[in-house]
Amino acid sequence: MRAILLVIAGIVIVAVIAASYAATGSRPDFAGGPAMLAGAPAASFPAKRLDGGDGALATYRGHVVLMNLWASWCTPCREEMPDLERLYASERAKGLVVLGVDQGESATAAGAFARTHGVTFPILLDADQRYGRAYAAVGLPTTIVVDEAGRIVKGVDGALSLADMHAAVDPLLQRPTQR
Amino acid sequence: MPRSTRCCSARRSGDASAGSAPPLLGTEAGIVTDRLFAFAAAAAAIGLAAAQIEAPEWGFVHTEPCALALALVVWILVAYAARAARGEDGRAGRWLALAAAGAALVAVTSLAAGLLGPDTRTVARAPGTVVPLPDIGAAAFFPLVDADGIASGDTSVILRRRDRAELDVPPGARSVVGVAVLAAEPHIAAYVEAYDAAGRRLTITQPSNPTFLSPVLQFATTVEIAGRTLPADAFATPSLHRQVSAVYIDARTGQGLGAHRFGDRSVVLFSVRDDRGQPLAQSIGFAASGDVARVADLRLRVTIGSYPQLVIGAAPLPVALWIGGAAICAGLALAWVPRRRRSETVPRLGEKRSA
Repeated sequence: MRAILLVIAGIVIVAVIAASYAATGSRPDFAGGPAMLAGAPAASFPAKRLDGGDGALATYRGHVVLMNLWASWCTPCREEMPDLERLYASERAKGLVVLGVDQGESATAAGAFARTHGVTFPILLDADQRYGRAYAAVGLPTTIVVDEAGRIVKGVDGALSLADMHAAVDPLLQRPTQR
Repeated sequence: MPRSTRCCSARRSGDASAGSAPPLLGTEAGIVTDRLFAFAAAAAAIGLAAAQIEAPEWGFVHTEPCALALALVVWILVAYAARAARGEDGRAGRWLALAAAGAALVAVTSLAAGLLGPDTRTVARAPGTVVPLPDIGAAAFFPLVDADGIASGDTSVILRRRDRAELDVPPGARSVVGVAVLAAEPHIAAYVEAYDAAGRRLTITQPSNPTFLSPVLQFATTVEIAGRTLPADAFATPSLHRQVSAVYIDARTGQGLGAHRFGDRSVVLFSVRDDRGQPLAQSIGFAASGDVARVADLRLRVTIGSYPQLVIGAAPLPVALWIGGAAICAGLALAWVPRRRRSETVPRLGEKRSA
């Protein structure tokens, strides 16, 4: 009888050990891109502002922020820029901040680009491309929508139309403030 | 091996409860041989479990020969434990049976880790990225570093787990999380800054890297130069329409490839082409850490160092290891203590007993 109990105990131990590995069978999800960041806290890093002084995404906490990562050499960024400016002009009064983050370029190149496209929204110069890495950019432009609480609502790879931009920020601007 | 009922009954008659001291070590050749095999098997089980934790990149633990060896180890240990528990190896043998059972548990969990656990994999990601690891209920965060961080090479990978404290895995260290062992292995890396001829900084992109906007090269591929296989990487400076290949060359190899002026320093060899793949004038150059290479119309400053890669392997179940380890220690200690007490009561040769 004791031998049977020992055999059963051995079988149970082996089964428990096997079950603990069976639960780990799934492979890691390496799906990348900014879309996977929705719901995460928005990372912020200090960076020089194009108009002088220091800035960071965190400076705009309490506002809905549409952060756009771009570079002057990026053709879709150029095409998207007028719509970003239109969005900023129309929604600024409701508390929307459009924040441009230039990736790795000099102030000269970024400034020339901003002047050419009549950009009035704030621009950060991300010399070390930290925003680009932290937001898992897989290309440019990359757009991140951050709510008033500093949480990422949406991440999009590629250029957005004005309608896409409104669809992303309007629900946040219309809801009761969470400040 | 011979199993004599007479032998067993003789030991039973010599049990402590019978009032006389029993033999503490078996004298029968069979059980002694079994015990030796069991000690060897226990050592093998402990060694393989330790290897799974200390060297997760060692692929042997996931092979069929290793599984067969561990199965044999379990069989030897269980067979000995069964005989010893019946008293065939004397009073000490009963405690050694506990130790053998503990070692068998360690071997079983090592076997399960090798057979059922995920294969060892290496996760290499650029600084500032997060990799979900759903199989261990965590996400690995590769911290942002600047050129100084690459040069120092002391960056830890941070493991973020739901409702648990963050876990730092420093370079060279190992951590067991659930049934996985994580090791942060330093790997060569270089931080690159690109400037045009006028000194204006340029965006660096890595179109073939999951992290598109990274100025950190991690040399995940290789190229063959002059019969040597060397770590390589590539990046682009889209504003100047340049594609740059980068090859890491350690100091000794550099001597053979014409980089004598760098002495005993490692270098990066840059080769620049336009975005149609056409070579440019003066498009090849070397740079050691902290130096600027002038290649074609680019100025490339490089900082050479290391950045961790995360090696993830299957680990023996910690609870089973603890229980098995405790059983081994307890069994050996209890088998050894009575013998010591007994030996203390035996007079030395030439020593006179007092009345």
